[in-house]
Amino acid sequence: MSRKSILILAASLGVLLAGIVHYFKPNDRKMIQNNIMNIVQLVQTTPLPDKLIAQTKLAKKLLQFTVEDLLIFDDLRSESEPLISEQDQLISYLYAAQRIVENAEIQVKDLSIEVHELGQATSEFVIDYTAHLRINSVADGVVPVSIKWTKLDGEWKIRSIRRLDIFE
Amino acid sequence: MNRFSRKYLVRLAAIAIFGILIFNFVLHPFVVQTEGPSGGIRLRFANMLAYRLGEPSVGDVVVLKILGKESMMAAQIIGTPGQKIDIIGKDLFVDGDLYPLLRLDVREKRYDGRVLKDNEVMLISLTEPPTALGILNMSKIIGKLL
Repeated sequence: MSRKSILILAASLGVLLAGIVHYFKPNDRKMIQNNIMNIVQLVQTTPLPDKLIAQTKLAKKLLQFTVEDLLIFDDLRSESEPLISEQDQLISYLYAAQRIVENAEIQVKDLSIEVHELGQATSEFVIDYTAHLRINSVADGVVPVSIKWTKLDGEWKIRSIRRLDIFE
Repeated sequence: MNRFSRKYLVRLAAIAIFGILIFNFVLHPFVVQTEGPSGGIRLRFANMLAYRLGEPSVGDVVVLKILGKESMMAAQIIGTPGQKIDIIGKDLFVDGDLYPLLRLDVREKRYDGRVLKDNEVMLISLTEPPTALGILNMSKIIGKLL
């Protein structure tokens, strides 16, 4: 094998290795995407709990994805019929949804993630859902949402969530 | 390459180009999912030229884009340009007439004598009962569902 061939082979291997490292190295976008997928996984894989204690446990699991000031589910717990329609924050929305939804199938579509300076990021996507309600009926729909993220101690946490409205 | 296979390739390329043009500029595929005993998944198409060549009409079912290329939804037109939309309490009126069997969407929109502009339509969902979705700019509409 000539010296030139060895150099070409070494350079190719170097490029390949750099590509593999780049692909697997966690970056901000991948971390945020993983968080979104983990939340979806938590909510849709098993039937949502109908007991208050189990509901609180799930709500607490979801809280690990948010900054502390989203901790408002205690207020909702005290209401007999919380209005999910008026909640635009993830935890409150999901906590209230557990009361009426037994199981949900969720697909995330058109996901876009924009990382800004100073540890801030915004993600936008569409939640395509089918919710099996406890009153034995099914509701489905598509909801576009925007999430604002903050990086705290190396982890991306949800700062706010709002529903995007394409209609006036 | 012999003459036969060359001819075959040219035809194949022509069909591919024709398909790309049709499905990008004329007919947009849309999957409709319906519930119930006779429900299921059906492939339908949206006529993308419908509102380039004509005007929207009340009753048209349209396909609209929500955010990007992947997410779309179907909805029905209940108000066309020039018509007046009011929401009073929990009731929706089009040109002063109460729209029946309607529940307002969770976003609780409020229109007070809002006249639809040339490029706007008022839409409701295809659910039962239908939900008032709101006023939409026509640029968001992909086409009329066939």
